[in-house]
Amino acid sequence: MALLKAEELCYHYRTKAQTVRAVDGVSLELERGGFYALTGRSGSGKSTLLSLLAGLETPMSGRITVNGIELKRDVLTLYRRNTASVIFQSFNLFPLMTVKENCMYPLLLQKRSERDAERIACGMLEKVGLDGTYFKRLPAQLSGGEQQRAAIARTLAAGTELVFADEPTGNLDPKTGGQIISLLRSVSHDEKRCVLVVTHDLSIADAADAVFRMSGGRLEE
Amino acid sequence: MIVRMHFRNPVRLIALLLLLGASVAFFCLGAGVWASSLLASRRIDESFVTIALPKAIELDREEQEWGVSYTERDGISPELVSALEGMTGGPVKRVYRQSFINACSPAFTALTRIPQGGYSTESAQDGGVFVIEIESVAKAPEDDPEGGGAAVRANVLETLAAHPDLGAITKANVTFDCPFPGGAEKLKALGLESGRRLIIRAVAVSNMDLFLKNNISSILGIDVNEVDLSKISFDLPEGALDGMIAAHTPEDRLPAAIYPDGKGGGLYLTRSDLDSIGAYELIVLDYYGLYCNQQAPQFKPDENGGLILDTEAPMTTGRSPLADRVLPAFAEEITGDTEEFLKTHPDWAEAVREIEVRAGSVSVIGTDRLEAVYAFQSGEARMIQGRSMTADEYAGGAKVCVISEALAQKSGLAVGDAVELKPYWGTVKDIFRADLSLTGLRTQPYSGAVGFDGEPVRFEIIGLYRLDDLWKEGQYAFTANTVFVPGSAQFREPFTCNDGLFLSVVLENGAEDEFRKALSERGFPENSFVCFDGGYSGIAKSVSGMALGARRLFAISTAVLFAALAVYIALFVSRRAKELGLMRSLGASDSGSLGRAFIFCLLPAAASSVLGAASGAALVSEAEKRLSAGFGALPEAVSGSSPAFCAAAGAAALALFAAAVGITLLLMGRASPAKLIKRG
Repeated sequence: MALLKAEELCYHYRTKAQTVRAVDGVSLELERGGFYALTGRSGSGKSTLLSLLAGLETPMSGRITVNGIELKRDVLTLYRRNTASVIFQSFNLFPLMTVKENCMYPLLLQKRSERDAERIACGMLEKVGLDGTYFKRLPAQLSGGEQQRAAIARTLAAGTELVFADEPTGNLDPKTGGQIISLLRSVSHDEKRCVLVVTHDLSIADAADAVFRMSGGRLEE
Repeated sequence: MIVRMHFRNPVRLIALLLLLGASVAFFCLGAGVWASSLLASRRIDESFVTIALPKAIELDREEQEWGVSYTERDGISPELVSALEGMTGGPVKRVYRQSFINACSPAFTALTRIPQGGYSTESAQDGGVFVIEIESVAKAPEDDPEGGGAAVRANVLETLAAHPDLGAITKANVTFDCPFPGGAEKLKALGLESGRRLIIRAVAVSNMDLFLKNNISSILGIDVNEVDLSKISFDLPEGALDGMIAAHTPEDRLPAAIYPDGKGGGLYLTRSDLDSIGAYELIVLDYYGLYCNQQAPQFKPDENGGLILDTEAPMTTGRSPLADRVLPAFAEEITGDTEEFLKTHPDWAEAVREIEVRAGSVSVIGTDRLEAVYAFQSGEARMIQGRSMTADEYAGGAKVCVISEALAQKSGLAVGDAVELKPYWGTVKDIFRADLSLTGLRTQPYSGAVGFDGEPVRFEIIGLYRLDDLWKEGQYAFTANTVFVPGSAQFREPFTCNDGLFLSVVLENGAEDEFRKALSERGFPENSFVCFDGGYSGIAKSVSGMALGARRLFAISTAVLFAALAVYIALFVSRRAKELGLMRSLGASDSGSLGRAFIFCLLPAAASSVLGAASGAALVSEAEKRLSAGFGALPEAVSGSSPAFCAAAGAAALALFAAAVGITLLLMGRASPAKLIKRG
């Protein structure tokens, strides 16, 4: 059974001029331990589809099931807390929390003890290459690459089965980007988590187990 | 952690604290000054009582063939009283009634006075019963169809009854008067001759010795207490009689002695003056002066618990028969022991009791509000010890009273003591309404022939007042022999009634013009009342200006607070959208994320409110000092409440902030996490 199954997802929104069919009848399946790439031109609906799959938006029609359970409004909070997490292109760290506090936050939401949360967060930060000297720094005191690593550490520390990444290397130099992609790939393969990366980067697509291409809100065959 | 997060952006925190703190401080200042001004206005209003007193007599002007005639009429009518009560809630706060009665108490020793240039006691306390021995007859009774008179010089053997202030009387000039047909015969029957002992009832006692001292003091311009009659010299300077036609001047009018002025001159005294030394003049008048049944007013209870004139009650008219007007005890030969004489002559025993009662006679004024009595309103009378009567005591007719400091001292009474007041009518019953308004509220002399009117009632003394002029005369004036009690505690029908002349109207401060206009609209002359505002009009403009300024300041400070709130919401609260979306994307519940954002946003507002309220209190305190300085005598009226006002204003500002933050976050939180993150 697929870890995540999306069927005929639709999401439209209106602008002043027209109705935009950002996601228009998309169906896909994601397997546990898979590393997927979602590509397409700007405005093709990639990020919107990611938001729907991550539970950050609600589809207007269609359905998403995770482990056989349909995602409805009443389970979305728990879904985001325990099952799916997102790495944003623009990092989206809490600006007034330290790097360590940012990483601990989703763990504390999962009702873990502060001590556990601290231990896991610190371990994950070191895993992404941020040692103890970074823990008490605020995001504004980090470089872009360091912030993205911190954001990835926060997402991975949550330990969710599904990891969605929205152009995670878009603001990084090629070398750092390469490191991040390696990390995500190892997470999917070694920890049997499912990773879906939205990207324009062909090297990432090449590294993926499967590539979904979007155009005009639809997945290309 | 949320608090720590704020300190990680100190610049923003300081900016927020300054923005919100300053606006809250200004708001507290505005609110505090406004509240202070309201409180001050109320206290000022309470400390001033504006009263309107009806003019007692109106003159009706009428054109006649021979010219203009003026007819006096009563200025107060039931219609006017009704109209005044109809103005309650407008310019009139309340119509207060004060009623007047006489009463006596053995606990009182009534005050007496020596009028300027006079020598008599107060009429209600005047008179005495004496045993005299005639020394010489100055004027024998003469036949006269209208009545008879006589005069003798006498030694006073015994004072059976007299006010203690009269002192020891040993020598007196006694004048007898029987002003009715047959009076001369009655005097002749007394057998006025040297050596004869008489018991007499004097209606007036004059201290001639004091009269002489008063004369000397007024002519030489020295204090009466400095006059020492032992300084009188009988060695007249040479030529003292020059220029006087001795042959045509009675001997007792010629200079016989001189009182030295200490500058080489002095005041000549006649034989008559010298006869006054140590002497009294006693007037023995065989006439009671009763008008008991000419037009005795009848009263009935009104709907407010007061008394009104019962116009339907039958009234008797006509004067008393002659027998009622002649004293039962006037003058009579006395032989043997005086005590035995009194035992066997009840009329004389009653005469003695009458004088004793008079020594403790006072006026009792029942009032609905002591402060509405003109003298208290004008400051001529004021409470100096104890307290005035409370609203409950006025309403419940408590048996409490306020007496003058002078009466208390003279009678050896103090606050907390009790006195029994026994009411009586006096010697006249029919002319009170006019008399009370025109001559003041004077105690009527007790008459044994009329007697008491009711049982004694025990009153507790709860306060003492001081009267600037113990014997002021004129309309509505009362003497220090006056006891104030709650109007509803009247223990018998009063002399006055609520359509009578004795009432006062308490106006809203500053409403005199409105009152006169309301009178005019109801068809009454605008000038039918005299208004006294106790000086309120002098500060009314300042009070009004203060209130207007405070209102404006409060309006501006409120506007500033809302402007600061708008900035705070737009630049701080609404920018929490991204964090809200992030929290939710990481699994925070809607309520959890909103609660955390609410606390985060409100913390600086709460701190600002506390700091602002504290600063505002300091500013208001300073403003109050300046305000108080402007009012000089009223500093206590506008100070002391600023911490409470500012705390309330600070709490109101915080509640406003909380409401605005809560509503903003709730509206914002309806969006999906993805939209919230994008919005940020």
